[in-house]
Order: sequence, then C-alpha cells, then structure tokens
Amino acid sequence: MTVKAPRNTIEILAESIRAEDHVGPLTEQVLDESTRKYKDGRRSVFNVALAIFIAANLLMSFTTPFDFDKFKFPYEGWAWWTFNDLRKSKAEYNVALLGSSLMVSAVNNSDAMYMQKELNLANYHHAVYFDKLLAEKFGGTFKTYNLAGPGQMPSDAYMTLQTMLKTHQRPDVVVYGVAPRDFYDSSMITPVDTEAFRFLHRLVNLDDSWGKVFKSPWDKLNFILERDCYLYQNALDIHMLAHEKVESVLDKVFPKPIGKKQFTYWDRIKLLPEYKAGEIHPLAVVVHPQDPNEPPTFSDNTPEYRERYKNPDLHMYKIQHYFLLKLVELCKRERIELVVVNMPITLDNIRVLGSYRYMGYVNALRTMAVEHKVPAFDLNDFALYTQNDYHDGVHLNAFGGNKFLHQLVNIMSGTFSTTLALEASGNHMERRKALAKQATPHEFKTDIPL
Amino acid sequence: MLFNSLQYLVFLPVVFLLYWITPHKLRVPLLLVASYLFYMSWKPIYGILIFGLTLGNFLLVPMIAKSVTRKKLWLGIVVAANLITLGIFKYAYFTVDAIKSGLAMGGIDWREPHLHIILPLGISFFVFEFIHYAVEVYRGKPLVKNFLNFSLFASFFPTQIAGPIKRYQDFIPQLDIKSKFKWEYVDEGMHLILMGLAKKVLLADNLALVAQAGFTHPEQFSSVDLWLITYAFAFQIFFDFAGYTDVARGSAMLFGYKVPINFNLPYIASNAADFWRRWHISLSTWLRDYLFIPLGGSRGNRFFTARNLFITMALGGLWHGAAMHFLVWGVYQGVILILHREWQHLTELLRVPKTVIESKLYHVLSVIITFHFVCVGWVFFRADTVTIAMKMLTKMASAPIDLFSFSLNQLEVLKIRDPLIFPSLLFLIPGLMIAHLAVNWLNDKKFYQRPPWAVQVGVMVALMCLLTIFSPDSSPRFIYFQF
Repeated sequence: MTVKAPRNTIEILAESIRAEDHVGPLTEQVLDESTRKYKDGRRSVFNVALAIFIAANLLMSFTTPFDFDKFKFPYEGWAWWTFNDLRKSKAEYNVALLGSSLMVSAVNNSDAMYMQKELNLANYHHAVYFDKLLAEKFGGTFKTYNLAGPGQMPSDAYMTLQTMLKTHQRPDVVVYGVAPRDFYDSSMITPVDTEAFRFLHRLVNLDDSWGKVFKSPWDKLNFILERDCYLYQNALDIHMLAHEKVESVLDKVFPKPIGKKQFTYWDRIKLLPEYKAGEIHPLAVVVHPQDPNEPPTFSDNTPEYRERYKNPDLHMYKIQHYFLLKLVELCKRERIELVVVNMPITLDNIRVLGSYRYMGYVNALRTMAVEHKVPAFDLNDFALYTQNDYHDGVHLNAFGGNKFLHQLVNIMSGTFSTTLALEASGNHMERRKALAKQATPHEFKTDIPL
Repeated sequence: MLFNSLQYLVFLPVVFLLYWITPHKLRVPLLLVASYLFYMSWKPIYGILIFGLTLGNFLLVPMIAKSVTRKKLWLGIVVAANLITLGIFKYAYFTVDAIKSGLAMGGIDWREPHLHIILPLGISFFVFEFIHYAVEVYRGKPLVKNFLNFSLFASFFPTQIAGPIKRYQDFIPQLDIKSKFKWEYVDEGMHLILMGLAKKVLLADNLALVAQAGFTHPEQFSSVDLWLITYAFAFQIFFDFAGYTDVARGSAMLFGYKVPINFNLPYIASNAADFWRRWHISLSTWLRDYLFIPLGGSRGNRFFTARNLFITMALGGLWHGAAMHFLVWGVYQGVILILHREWQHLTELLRVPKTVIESKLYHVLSVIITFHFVCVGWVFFRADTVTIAMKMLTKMASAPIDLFSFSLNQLEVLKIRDPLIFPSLLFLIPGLMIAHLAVNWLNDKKFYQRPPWAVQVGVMVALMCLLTIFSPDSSPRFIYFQF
C-alpha cells in the first residue's frame, strides 16, 4: 500500500542485470550464426538507418524534390517585412538606403513630417522627401527603397543588398549610413546575432565568408551541417509546410470560434513574450509627424549605449570592416554607386564611446574610402546638429532628418562620380516612366522582358 | 552541455570512440575525465564542488564501516555534511527569505545579506547518491575501495545532471567487467537517445508553450481551457523528464552500462501509490528507502504511517526546489497518498466486494480519478506561486458546471493559430492518453518488444529525419535540470 512497492525497483533491475538476457557487460552474449552479420555491424539497425538517412539526404540534394520559397520565413521581423513588401511592389527603385535605426529614424521622421501623416514602418519603406530633394538637385525621377533596419550591421547591409539583387531590383545608387555602434556593439558578439541575419542567411550564399561570420566552432559546424544536409538546410521550410497542412486540417476540424474577439498579435506577445521575439506587427512601429510648433522631446539613452560600448570586441570590429569591404566589392561588381555616410550622433554619445576610439573609427572609414575609391562623407557636423535635432543620443528627429537629407544631397552633388550616377539614374527612370505611360494594358501582359 | 545540443552531438561520439579503442584499464579514467569536462563546460569552478564532495564521502564513509560503537554518529556526520552542502547551494535564498518574512511578522525589519549563490547543476541528484552510499555502508553493504570507480559513480555524465539516481551496488560492479564492444549497445543506445530527444523536442518543447501561457496568464482562459493546459503540462513534464532519462540511459548503454529506469507509464496509475511506483522511480524508491523506512515506514499504526508519508512527500516536494509551491505540491502528494490509504481502509471496513474493486469499470474510474488528482498537483508544481495555483484551481473547479453549457466555441485555445500547438491540444491530448494505454497493452507483446529488423530501421530513420527537421535553434533546457 501507498509507497510500498512490491519490490525495490533497483533490486529488480539488479536482478535483470545479473540475469542479463540480451545486452550488457556482465555477461558475454553468445551470438548464433543468424546474428553473425550483426557482429561486424552490417546488420546494425543504427548503421543501416544512418546509411539510409545520409543516402536520402544526398539524393534529395541532387534531385531537389521540393521548390521552397526561401523568402518565406516564420519570423516576421524587420528584414522580412522589408523584402516581403519589396517583392510585392510593382515599382522600380533606382536608389536604396542601407543603415541601422539611425538611418531609419532620420528618413522616416523626415517623411512623416513632410507628408504630414502617420507612417507604419513595417510596411513603409520609401523615402519621398529624399526622392524630392534628389529630383530637385539632379533632375529626373527618383524612387528610393529604404533597406535600413534597426541594428543593421555591415554584415547585414552586405546580405541585404545581395538579397535585393535577388528580387531583380537593381538600384543605381546605394547610400549607406554607418555609425560606431555598427562596429562596436557589445551586445552583438557575432554577425549571427542579428534578427536580419537569421532571415537573410537563407537567401545569401555565405560560402566565401562563413569563416568570418561564425565565430564559435559550434556555429561553424552548424553552418556546415546546414549547408550539406538537405533536411537540415530545408528544415524551416518543411516545418512551415507542415504548419500549413496542420493548420488547414485544424481549420476544417476545429474552426476558429465565430463571433468572439479574435486572438491578435498583441494578445500573443502578452501571453508568450519570448515566442518569436523580434517579430513586428504592421501597427507595432509607427512614426507620427512632428509638430514644428512643439519643442522636440529628448530622451537620454546613455545607459543603453554605455552597455553597448562597454566591451568593444576587436574581432567583431574587424569582421564588420571585412563586410563593409565586401559591400564595396559587391557594388563595384554590380556597377552600383555606393556612398558611405558617417551618421550624425551627439557629442555625449561619443563621450560614452571615447573620443579616441571614435576618431579611430572615422579614420578607418576614411582610409577604406581612399583605398577603394568609395565616396565617403562624414556628416557628423557638431555645429549643424543641436540637441533639438535628436530624439536621443543618436537618433535624429524630423528636424534633424531634414537637415541630414539636405546635407547628404548637397554633399553628393559635390562628387563627380556620384553626381554622374544620380543624374543618369534620374533621367533613365524619367524616360522609363514616360514610356510606361505610353504602354497599353496589353503590353504589360507580355512575357518578353523589358 | 545539454543533451539536445550540437556540443553533445560531437562530445558523445568522441567519448564513445575513445572508450572502445582504449584498453579496459583506462576506460574508467577516460569516462571520469569526460564526465568532468561535461560538468565543467557549464561552470568550471563547480568541478571542484563535485570533486570535493566525492573525496569527502570517499574518506568519511569508511569511518562508518570501521567504527563499532559510533557508527550512527559517523553516519550522521556524513549525511549532515551532504545535506548542509545541498542546503547552502539550494536552500540559502529560501531560508533567508523565510527568516526575513518571519521577522517581518514580528515587526522586525531585517536587512538580509546579499548572497551570490548559483545552484550547481545536478547537486540534488549526486548528493542523494552519496547519502544512499553512506546509508548502505551503515547497513553493512561493502565499501567502494577504488576512488576512480567511486568518482565515476558520482559524476558519470549521462546521469550527472538529472539522474536517474543510481545505486552503487548496481553501477560499480559494471565498471569492473571487461566488456567487449557490441553493435547491440549502439542500436539500443541510439534508439533510446533518439526516442528521448523526440519526446523532448517534438512533444515537451511544444507543450511548454501552452503551459507557459496558461500558467502565467490563467485569467485569459476558461475553466475548460485551464484543464486542457494542465493536461498539457502533465504531458510536458512527463516527456521532458522521460526524454532526458531515455537520453541518459541510451548514452550509458553506448558504453555498455545500464542505469535504472525512471518512468513506467505513470498516467495509467490507478491510485496515488501506484503513481509513485511509476513516476520518477529512482527518486521515489530513494525516498522510500532512505526517508520513509528510517522514519518507521508503515510499521506503526495508521496515524504513524500517515505522518511518515506526509513528512516523506513534503520533503520530497522541497527537494524539487526551494519554493513554497514545491513544498505545497509535496504536501499535496502526501495528503493524496494518505487519502488513498484511508480509502482502502474504508472499502475494507465497508466490505466492498472484491468483484467490484477488481472490476474493469472500477479500474478505469480509478485511473481517470488518479490522473486528475495528479494534474491538480501539477498546478501547484508549475505555477510560480501558491496564489496563482489557487486562482487557477478555483477557476478549474467551475469546469463541471461550465461543461453543462459547453461548446467548442468557448475554448480560447481554438482561437490561437500561432503557435499551432494550442488548437492541436484537442487531438494531441486524447492522442497521448490513447498512446499511453496502447503502449501499456503493447508492452508484453512480442512484436513490440522486439520488432522486425526492417521496422526498427524504419523507425530510426524516421526519428533521424524528424529530429533534423524539428530541432529548433535553441531548445529550452530540460525541466529537471533546475532541481
């Protein structure tokens, strides 16, 4: 009764070990002739199963039985929205913006004020005020796609542009805004740590740089397994496929309750904050137009940056420079005019980083620009930007954003190669626009590539 | 190092290969080094702790055997030393909080010292193994003379972190056997490892999402939902821990060692006592042998036995964690064990015919009632506080009334489509219960015990494919690691 077991489990087990009727070291089992093959492993269940598993993977690698859309991704993060919307877009873009939240903030705040409307950043990827300034300065038509995203590092920027090219959108000019955080962030130990990387590495071939991307041997091993094992490589896609199938069955068998308040994204993040962390909802990040008559608000984010700049990792710094050079190479190869811009940040933020380290960062950018003949501009003009131009220590508000875009357009016009590229691009798009107006609806249906 | 990590995927085959190419004499030292590497990969400093405890026990326990007049004193010293170590690491915060609350009730504001203690992984398990050794030696069982063997008994990596709690009489003799490599070890071991990982990754990790949502926000769910969530947790903790045990047993099997089983279809138990014979067997038998029986067991009257059960289970609850809700869970287990005894006593008193007690219907009802009693206990176990548990249980108590006007439309879990595990509960939970019954039925069938070779291969290939596809980037830790 109660915890009085009929016999001590351990005693039973000990007896079973002593009796040892199948395997175990206590007795040497006498194998009969029929299990002789077993002895040398030929009939070992595990060996045969492993051989079948490897053979099946190899076969699938060669035959690729499934055609998965690698742009599909279960985590709808910033990068996912950027490319989901780009693929849906019928427009053609001749300029692209790259950068972290500093670029996002400057461009979107400026646009929200210019258009006097609220912008939902999950779906808004344009830069209309910048387009207007470009058109005024260089003539023609400009359509910019904003590929910048919070936390974007040079490794992400490189993969982002590569992914854009995969969507058959090819910008003529790319403006890349960089800041020290992109190279020094202590919270990002490897390029793998960003939300963008998790999505983009499905789309970009990293064979030439995987040694740099992955720092830990485990990450490297994981990459090799993912690259060479078909099922592991496509695990997420099969997972999503299974999810769709199960969902469709569930919808038939147990449909969602009708007439009740539906379960939303907001309910989910309240119930399961850790589940798909980093995912954003179309209404989760909204920028409101700034009232020019209201004094701008400023919030001090020094503690956050103290953490970010706390333990700068030289290894990570070098890796991010490596990817900046990869981006330069990619643009040269694709004949894209790359413009690198040092983003404005406050002096207080530089103090947290250390002015010596900041100077080192700026000098490294300059050296890279000279060596690789890349137009690079330091727009961090302390005289031009005051605290009223910032939301916090690094992010420009609408006033700062306007100043930044004006300064950027002006400075680009002073560079011969950039001016030439922008003028040609603006005129080319203008002509295409005019031709598109002439086209009949029938022509749009043609399969002949334009 | 987690069993469900890439590190283990490399570590285990390397140790396995080295083990079988190493001469017999060097195998124990090899496994010992591997076990310390395994343990120290988490926090190197705690390697010293496990070594210190091993050395201390190895030196002190012989004093019990040698002493003629002071056997009990030496046993007391050894047990106390082990329990104090466990207490410092596991219960220091709990004790300080309890003292602070007690003083606060008396109007005294005590500024508690700031403690920087991190609970060493697996300490509860290896401390219990040391106590078992000391008590067995006190009872006249032989000493372990070889320090390396004794060290490996405590630190053997497959069972180091979350058991099963081994018995030295079963484990140590296996170390001295000159065993030759057999492919059966690989087949049986890998089958257990893959099955264990599948239980963890495919079932436990998904069910964990349901439990997390339900137990942190019970107000969001209806009474029927909360029962479903509790069932989900019941299966989550079972698959999590049973999965861990399978991987542990499978890993040990690769080296030709057998470690005890820990689970035997616990949710088909027909009463509380039966449940504890099927759930965490290595712990329940430890509690029986080294707590319940020394307290007097069931040798006294009904009250005396009830008292012993209560103390055993309350302390068993506290063993799971230094928190009030674990203590309450343990007390609850003690109470239902006592109630079960009293029920048996009552049926004897009322002379309920044997045909009724042994009938199929009685058995089925007993299984259903026991499962629900166990599930109520899981609410205390999983909820962060006793207050949350009570809130949940109060709501769950209204389920019988709510079921009168029940329709599927009322289920909150059906509204959630991401994660998909929520609506899937409606077929998963019955499926798992049926699987439990099916395995019980199949257990004594020859086909199930030793399936045809091709079936075994097919199952293993399927497991490999499923685990490759469904292994997430960062699977959560096993629940029993925290204990």
